[in-house]
Amino acid sequence: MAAAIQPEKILKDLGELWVNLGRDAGGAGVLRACAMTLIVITLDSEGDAVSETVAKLMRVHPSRLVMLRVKPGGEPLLSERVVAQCWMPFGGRQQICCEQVEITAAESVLDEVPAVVRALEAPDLPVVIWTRVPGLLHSAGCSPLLDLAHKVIVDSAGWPRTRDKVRAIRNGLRTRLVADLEWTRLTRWRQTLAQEFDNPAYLSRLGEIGRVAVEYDGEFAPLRALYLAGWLRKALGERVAITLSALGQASPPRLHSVTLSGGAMSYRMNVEVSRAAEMRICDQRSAHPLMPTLDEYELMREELSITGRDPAFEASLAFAEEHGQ
Amino acid sequence: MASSNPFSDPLRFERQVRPCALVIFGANGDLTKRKLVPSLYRLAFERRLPTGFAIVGNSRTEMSDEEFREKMRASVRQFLEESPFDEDVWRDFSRGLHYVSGDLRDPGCYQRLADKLGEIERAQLTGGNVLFYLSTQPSHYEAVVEGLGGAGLQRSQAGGWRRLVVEKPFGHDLDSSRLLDHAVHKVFPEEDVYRIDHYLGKETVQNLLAFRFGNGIFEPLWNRRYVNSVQITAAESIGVEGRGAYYEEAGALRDMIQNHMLQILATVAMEPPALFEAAAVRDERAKLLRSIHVMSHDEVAAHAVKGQYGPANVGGRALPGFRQEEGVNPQSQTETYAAATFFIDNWRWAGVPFHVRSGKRLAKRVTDIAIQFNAAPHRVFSGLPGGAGMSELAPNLLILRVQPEEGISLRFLSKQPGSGMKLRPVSMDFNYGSSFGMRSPTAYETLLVDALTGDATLYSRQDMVEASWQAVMPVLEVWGNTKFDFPNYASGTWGPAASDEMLARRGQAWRVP
Ligand SMILES: NC(=O)c1ccc[n+]([C@@H]2O[C@H](COP(=O)([O-])OP(=O)(O)OC[C@H]3O[C@@H](n4cnc5c(N)ncnc54)[C@H](OP(=O)(O)O)[C@@H]3O)[C@@H](O)[C@H]2O)c1
Repeated sequence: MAAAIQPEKILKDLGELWVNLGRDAGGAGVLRACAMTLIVITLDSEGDAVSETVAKLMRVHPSRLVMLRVKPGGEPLLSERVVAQCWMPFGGRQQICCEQVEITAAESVLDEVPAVVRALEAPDLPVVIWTRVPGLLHSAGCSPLLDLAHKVIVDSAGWPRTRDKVRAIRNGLRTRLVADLEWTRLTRWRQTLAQEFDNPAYLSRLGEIGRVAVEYDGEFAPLRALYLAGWLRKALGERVAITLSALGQASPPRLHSVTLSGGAMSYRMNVEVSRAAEMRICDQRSAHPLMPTLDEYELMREELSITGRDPAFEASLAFAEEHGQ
Repeated sequence: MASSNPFSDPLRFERQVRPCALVIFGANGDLTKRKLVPSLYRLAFERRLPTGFAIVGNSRTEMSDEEFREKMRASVRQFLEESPFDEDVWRDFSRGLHYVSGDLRDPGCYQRLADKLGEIERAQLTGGNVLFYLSTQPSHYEAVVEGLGGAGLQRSQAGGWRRLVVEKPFGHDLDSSRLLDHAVHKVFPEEDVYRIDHYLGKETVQNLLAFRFGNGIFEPLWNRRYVNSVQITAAESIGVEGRGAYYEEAGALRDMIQNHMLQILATVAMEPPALFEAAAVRDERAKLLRSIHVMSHDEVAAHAVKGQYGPANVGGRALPGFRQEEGVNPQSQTETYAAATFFIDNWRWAGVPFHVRSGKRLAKRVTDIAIQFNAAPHRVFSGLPGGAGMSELAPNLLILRVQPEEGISLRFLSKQPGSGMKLRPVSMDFNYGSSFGMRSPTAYETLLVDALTGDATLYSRQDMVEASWQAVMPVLEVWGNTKFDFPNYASGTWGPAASDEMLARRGQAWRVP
């Protein structure tokens, strides 16, 4: 039997934490800000780095944070500690604080965690789970935990084969919202493309595009490539031929580039190589050099602000299931 | 061919500006360098401007495109708020900066402008879309509009849109605002005219709409049955800071109350619109402004207070009085402080005073709105020590803070810990900037994107401008015919004693914000 964790004790510790924070703040007082319960599941070895990311996230999406640090195999173990993330708003005297509960658990006792977490949910607010541990989405032991969530965020980058994983995401979508950071990574690319066709002169020539070539490096098409292809299929319709082909070697596989072409028009996104996009129409050329690489903070910041369904993602996901390997 | 962009994704993409050109009249001026170009740069930084977005500046000073770019680069570096300066973004952005020098009273200037816009249209495929921005002296507004009309620039041959942004002031009284409007309408239809009031672009003022109409619990209280009074304060700690000559002509009532503060008042008090779209929101705002009771001349003395700051030593620094500022008449009768109590003649607000005040060299820089609720109808705790009169002394207050820290607070009474029933007021705060610790767009960023995408929700319409002039005209008329004994307040205070007396006569007092 693992060391016991009592939710009442955690709640009591949280209460004391607020009293102490209030006392330390002198007359200025502290504000508690909370818009959701955010449960972050991560490997214990990566916990410290993730803590920094979520500390930044708290300022944009203030939450009661439950960080579950998973220790693979080994001794059955459960432990907890309570801390606060506080900051001073620009020029203000008052501190803003969010609560953070950290639970460390061995993989073998994960099934004991949901009962604890259930008691720790901030009342009347949505629960979002961000799982950084691959495979958790489809492990039976974790399903009671996932059942708590209104939204589950995964990151399929580096997942081995794709089709069964996509199926898991789609199954998850039946009962809750599921998001994949591999899709979030495409937002800026998609936006840059959309922006070009905001120009009526280009939009009127969209019909010229007859081919979309999605190229990737590696043994099979990574989900990011499939998502992008699915999104383009939805936007351009069935009349456009979409091909997915392997170019070079990479492990795990990665999205290399996407080219839309036809008539006198071509649009190319070099996703992995130069991180640049370029549009050519006849002799006109416009370029978007150096698209930034987004870190987990930026990806999560975007994803946490989506509170409802994402129809574009769902359509891309359906395509990915059909064409994934 | 498809008319809408199949790649758009409003759930995730920020609203994008379509290819177009922006012409700034007064490009060598203060507003351009402090606000307009830094805001446009920031939009470029956030990738919200399309490739091929062009800015054409105009003023008399001779400058090449390159010199204009250098000047704007220095301004952006100096005035960019809470943003990094990125060389790559600047390089792309500055390629779109152009300059056409010329006197805007010279018809030849518009021909050169037309040629430049033609070039840009061909090179950048802007489809003929142009936003003209009047950021020059208001006395030139009519000349610009006439010049644009004379050169046929108000219409695009290519079928694009043409819009006109007008900076305040919209006239200096009701008659002159109508004359200006008449001149503008000879060239531009009302739907293409965007009268900017940058207070409406502030996040909290927009948040006020979300707060009132997105929640079910406040609106039932939002009326004369529960609200005792409303106070709206816009205080500045600085003086006229080198703009003495301008201020001497304007004064606090024209500069702040007629426009910004009455727009805030209208946002606080308007009826819920059926839809959140420009026409519906503006109709409700206009309706409210038209319902403001227009004072008779006899009512002015009891409902409005005029003030002017005198010299003072603050924190060991000798500060000049308004009359000692450069460009100001040493006998000036211009107000640097104005306070007025407005009433709204409708069922929701009949009898509820809206106290509005604005001034320079006040105790601190703050803009907020305070809704004071009625005291509890029965005094349950009045017999107890510490309970007596508490609910009268500390009525429930809902404070909507516009600046410097945007947010919302609710003050209510709570029992003090310990035995006995001692009450004390406590405040429940929501801090907008820090609860969502991300950078909010500045008012000019919001409003520029709105005008560039054709969304007039946060812009004033002529009927609103006229209604708000109507509300302040009696005060201006009476003040214009009365000699005041100025200065009547010291720097660093909350204004003249007469203002406190005005509220005291109603048994009320100004809050200390
Ligand atoms: N500054 C602010 O913070 C602020 C805030 C709210 C509203 N506003 C409004 O915005 C407008 C502009 O204000 P501002 O402070 O930027 O004014 P400003 O500094 O006086 O700038 C006006 C510019 O117009 C140019 N100009 C003057 N006469 C001209 C002519 N005959 N032909 C061509 N150009 C001419 C001048 O440049 P040249 O000498 O090179 O010709 C001058 O730099 C005003 O209506 C003001 O009320 C300003």
